Amino acid sequence: MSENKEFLSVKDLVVEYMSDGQVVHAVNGVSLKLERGKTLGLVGETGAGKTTIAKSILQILPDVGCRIAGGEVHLDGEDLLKLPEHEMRKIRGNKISMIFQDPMTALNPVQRVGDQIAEVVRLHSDDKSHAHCEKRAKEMLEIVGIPAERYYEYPHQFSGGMKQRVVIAIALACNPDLLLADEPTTALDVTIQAQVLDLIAELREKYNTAMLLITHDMGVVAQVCDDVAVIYAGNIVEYGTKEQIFDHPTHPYTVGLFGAIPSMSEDEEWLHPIDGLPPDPTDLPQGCAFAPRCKYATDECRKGPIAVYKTADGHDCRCCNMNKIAEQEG
Amino acid sequence: MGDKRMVKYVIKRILWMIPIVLAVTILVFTLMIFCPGNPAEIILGATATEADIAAKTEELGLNDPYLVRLGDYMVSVFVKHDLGDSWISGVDIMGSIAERLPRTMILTLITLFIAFGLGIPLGIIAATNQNRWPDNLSMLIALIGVAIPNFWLALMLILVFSVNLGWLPAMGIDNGIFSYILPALSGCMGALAGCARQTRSSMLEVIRADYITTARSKGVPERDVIVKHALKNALIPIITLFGSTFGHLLGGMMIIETVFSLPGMGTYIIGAVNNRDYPIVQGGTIFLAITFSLCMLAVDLLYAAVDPRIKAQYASNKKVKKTKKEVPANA
Repeated sequence: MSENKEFLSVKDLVVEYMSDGQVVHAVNGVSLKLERGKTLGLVGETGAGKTTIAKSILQILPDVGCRIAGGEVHLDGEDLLKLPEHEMRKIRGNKISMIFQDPMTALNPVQRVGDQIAEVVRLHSDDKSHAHCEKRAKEMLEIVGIPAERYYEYPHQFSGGMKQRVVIAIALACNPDLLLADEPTTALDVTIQAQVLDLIAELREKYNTAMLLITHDMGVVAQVCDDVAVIYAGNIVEYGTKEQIFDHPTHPYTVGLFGAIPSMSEDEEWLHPIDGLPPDPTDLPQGCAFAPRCKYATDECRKGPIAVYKTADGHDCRCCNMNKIAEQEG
Repeated sequence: MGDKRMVKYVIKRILWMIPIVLAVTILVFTLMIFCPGNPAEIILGATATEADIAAKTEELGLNDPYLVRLGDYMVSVFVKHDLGDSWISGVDIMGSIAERLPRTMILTLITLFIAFGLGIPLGIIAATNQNRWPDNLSMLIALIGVAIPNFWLALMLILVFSVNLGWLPAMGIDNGIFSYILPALSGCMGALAGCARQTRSSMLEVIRADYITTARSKGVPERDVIVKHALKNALIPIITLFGSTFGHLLGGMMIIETVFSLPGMGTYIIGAVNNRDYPIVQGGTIFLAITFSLCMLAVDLLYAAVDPRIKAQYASNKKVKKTKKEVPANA
């Protein structure tokens, strides 16, 4: 099927927040594509708009002062942004589900964990009987490695790692086609991180689930993703397969990101951060948003919107000095 | 296991009420002694002679030392369950309270029911439409509710519903539950406003929580998100308010009771205070203290029912106390 090829496609997504009468440009024309069973990593620093992209796909942005100003989100050829709310509700938690960043706050503290899983089952399954939902919820608990007896416990009786497992169980209970994982391991310690990533990978393989993985951890990207999109100030600055991005990072921002990872082999005394701060999203620079921090920036960069160019190995890069930089850096 | 511990907790709390009630009794008795004016004079009236008054003072035991009088009173209240007779009318106080307390309780409960039954939805509407017109309207209603004095509202309601429309009785308690509707309506506005404001602010806090986003991401319909997920988490401060409002209303019904000539605890105690009828003031206060303590216990148990974390805390009460004691020792 042709739509299988492009299972999820986001086109020119623009999202704005209103804050104190100022417009915050959170996402500025992002386009993505994702095939069934594949993983796309969204990489970028805090505030770059990664979570907003994921929430826009599910349309669970806060309703006060936030709007999707333009763009399309196609899932299986259907434009989700044009769906009425009650149709969208059937997709949430069922076809598309989301894993949240902070397991400590993502679960309802006054509801039994089992009931929180059973709720999503009840909402989306044909058999709405209590027995069926409870059985499925217990099954999910076992799948994520929690004994089914703990169905009746509350989130405060669980550790952070176990809470994240519950969140994953909720997300996967209805075998979604698309999983939006918003920094699923950021709040966890390294050992648990590895376990959780393995768990997600295992379950995805079983159900052929596509995943949009939001992270700022390059190590996680290397381990899990097929494709990578680097986000800066609400825009994709570099987009390609994992190999392309890791072997030939081209955009100065991506180069800076990789440069910031300390080398294990050399005895380094100082870290190498990217100088400066991300731009104020209420007042983005006219041209390239990265220009103020970029050591290669020219007048051309500051003039107007930067087009997307193809690099030597064929991935996308939003930088007009791309070739010059490549020559300079060798 | 947890339930057994809860039963233990409840028993412990009920036992705690004993020293509280004793302390209230001693406090009220002592305060009454410091009140100016000789009860004997009041009882006998302006025409009484010096000798009559002296004899009456002796008869009432007012010449005994403080500790003896306190002891006598405590024995008669807690051993004989006798609060004494009214000094003015000579009527048994226990009997009067048994008659009047239920009326005040009913009035308070109906008032609370109206206040929270309307206040919570009003607060939810305000919170879910933050800074839009329904929010402003709800908060305006709440503001008016605080601003209107309840005796004025009472008169207006009487004017409209009793005098003009003739739907509801203007005074007394002869019409069963209908007698309580106007008093409750006029007494509820302040509580309603407080409840709406509290609900709004605690809903606003909860509505932005991550687990609400989780609930939405599961495809939960918006109404269920608000009621099942948000409201239940926002309930704790509302229950706290419920408890304090209950106490406030229970002890503060005298204006409403007076306006509507409702023979409840409020008018009883106020009348007694004006006549220096000490035994009634003491007895009434003790009863209100017991009712209030029971109500606070109910509030604390409601916390546990709503929030499993608080329930766990109650159940492990021993541990909490131990660590508290250890802290100063370590420091």
